[in-house]
Amino acid sequence: MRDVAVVSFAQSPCQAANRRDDMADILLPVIREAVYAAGIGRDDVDFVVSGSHDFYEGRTFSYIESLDAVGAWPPISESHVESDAAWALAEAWSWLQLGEGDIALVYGIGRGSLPADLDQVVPAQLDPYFLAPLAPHRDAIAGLQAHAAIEAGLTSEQGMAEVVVRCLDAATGNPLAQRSGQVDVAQLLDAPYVSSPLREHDVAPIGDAAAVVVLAADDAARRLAERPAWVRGLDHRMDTHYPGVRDLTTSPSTRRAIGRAAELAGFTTSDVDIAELHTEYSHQEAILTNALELNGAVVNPSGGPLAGRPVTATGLIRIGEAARQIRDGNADRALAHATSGQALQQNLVCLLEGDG
Amino acid sequence: MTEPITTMPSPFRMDYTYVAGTGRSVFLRGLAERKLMARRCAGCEQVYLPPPEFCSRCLRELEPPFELDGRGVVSTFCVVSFPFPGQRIDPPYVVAYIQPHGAGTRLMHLVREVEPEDVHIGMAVEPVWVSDDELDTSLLSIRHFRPVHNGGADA
Amino acid sequence: MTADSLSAAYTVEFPFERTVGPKIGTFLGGLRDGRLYGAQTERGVLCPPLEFEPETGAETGELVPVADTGTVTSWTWVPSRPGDPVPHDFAWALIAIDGTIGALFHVVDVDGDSARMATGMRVRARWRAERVGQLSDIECFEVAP
Repeated sequence: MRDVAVVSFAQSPCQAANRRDDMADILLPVIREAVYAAGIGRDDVDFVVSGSHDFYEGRTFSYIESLDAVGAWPPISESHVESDAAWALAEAWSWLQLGEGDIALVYGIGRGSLPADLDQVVPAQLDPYFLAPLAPHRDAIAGLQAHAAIEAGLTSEQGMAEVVVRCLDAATGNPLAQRSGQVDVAQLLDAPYVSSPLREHDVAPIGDAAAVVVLAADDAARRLAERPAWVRGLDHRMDTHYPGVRDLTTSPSTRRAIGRAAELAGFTTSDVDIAELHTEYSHQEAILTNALELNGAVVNPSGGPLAGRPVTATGLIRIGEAARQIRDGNADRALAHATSGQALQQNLVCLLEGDG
Repeated sequence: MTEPITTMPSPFRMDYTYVAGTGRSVFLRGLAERKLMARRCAGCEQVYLPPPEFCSRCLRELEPPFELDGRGVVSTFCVVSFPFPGQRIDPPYVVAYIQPHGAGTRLMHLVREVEPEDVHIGMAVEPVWVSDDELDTSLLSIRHFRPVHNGGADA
Repeated sequence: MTADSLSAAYTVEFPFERTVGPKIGTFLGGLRDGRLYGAQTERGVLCPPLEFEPETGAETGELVPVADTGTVTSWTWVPSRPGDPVPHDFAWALIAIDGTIGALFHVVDVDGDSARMATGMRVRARWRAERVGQLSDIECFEVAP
């Protein structure tokens, strides 16, 4: 295995609706910042991978527009996933492990504000025979999961509100968060349900942002960062799609992924200082904490997705934030998690470590 | 025994907001005033029409926009002979990449007021704008391009 | 340079038709005929009839008729929107159809009164008079007597 590390991370502010920038404009300043922070020029990048989704962008082959911000002339080696950019990072990591190059630039763009009504878009990711024709509300399957989690004693409406309070408070230290502030549980529990038992605050707020992570291998990483955040283990797995044949209160794919990542890393979640979890809904923190067997780690010090969810950039930002804590010397070991699909259907985990 | 169904309708309908971006908006606003706006890159000398905000080769901001009159030459073209849903004109008709004089890039538009078999690469063309009340922040402010008959030099 | 950007609304629309294959096709044919089918597996019958067993990945077996009654195992209360099967607020639910393993995702209608929803409640399908071979041929599930 090669030693691959995150050597820089940058993101644009999470905005509820960016009505100024096109896909290239939202990305260019973030690429500049990440590339500058890594101390490289654009010619030093061996491979570019991106994650974004046509169904949010509203155009086919939409990501091609973003390549104008990458500088695709002379021709470059690049790839793309129609998915959260955490999966683009998985591809870049694999590419570096194969020895194809030494430096990879991963970017994610998520513009969730472009669909006029997410109830039209979100069901398109569901089984086209048994689920999509019923046109469930965007948070319905998550609502079923939250209901099941409460009935199983994993959490409560109060517990979910406490997660939100903690995340919004943590986000006050994050100038790029979409939401932040001091709220109290009673105030939150006064709000109506959007899909019971979920209230508006229990749903990570959709928005727009771009994020960039630069990965480097071996000596390149040591040269580019004072304290590289080594990606010691990475794995991703998927649960069965249909919600009626899953136990929505557990996350077997997360368990399997962390087991494999821990084998690669030589340490596991009980050893991590911080964990950035891709919680699209407040109730999912309890499910993931169980599946990951987190023990004492500070969860979502950035505020997490409950403070801002720029759709397909959200999982990549978790990896970037976890890496940043290591690079800044606030943590020695960290976990980052990303999810895709409804109710934690697909999960990616990444175990990171700093030197010394 | 149950007669199986073989296909089921699976319609998509999604409403979106398109955000033009600042560079593209300058171009679109120009069209509403019968202006074709271009911008130059001081790094590589490329002149973009329509102009984005920055050069995609140099990754640097482009110089301030300036106007071109849109006269240019046909760079390549095709004759559309095939009907399709949403088509605006009855085939056959010509769609071309037109390189306006002064620009390094090409603009896609219709070429009309000429028989399709008479269109050729290098043919000199000029824009035909819509009337005042039809002008808008849209490429449709140009109805089509037509051959230049008086003193237009073929390439 | 002005920092102001133009934006505009637009719609993307595609009238797709999907081929469904023999197993789903028979299930949809059953719905058209006012009957629910499940697929046999080693562990029990699955409704809806997934083509592959979720635990093992093995192809599921023959379709068999199942009852159109069941028990709610989870539910979430939502506001009604134009186009929804009932005009008042309702629940999306997972319904364990009698005699099957797993659950079916569908609507439960309790006349807009969420206090009548409960995990474990018994429900039965309310079929539409005109059926075409879609899951919406079942308008919703309602409280079973």
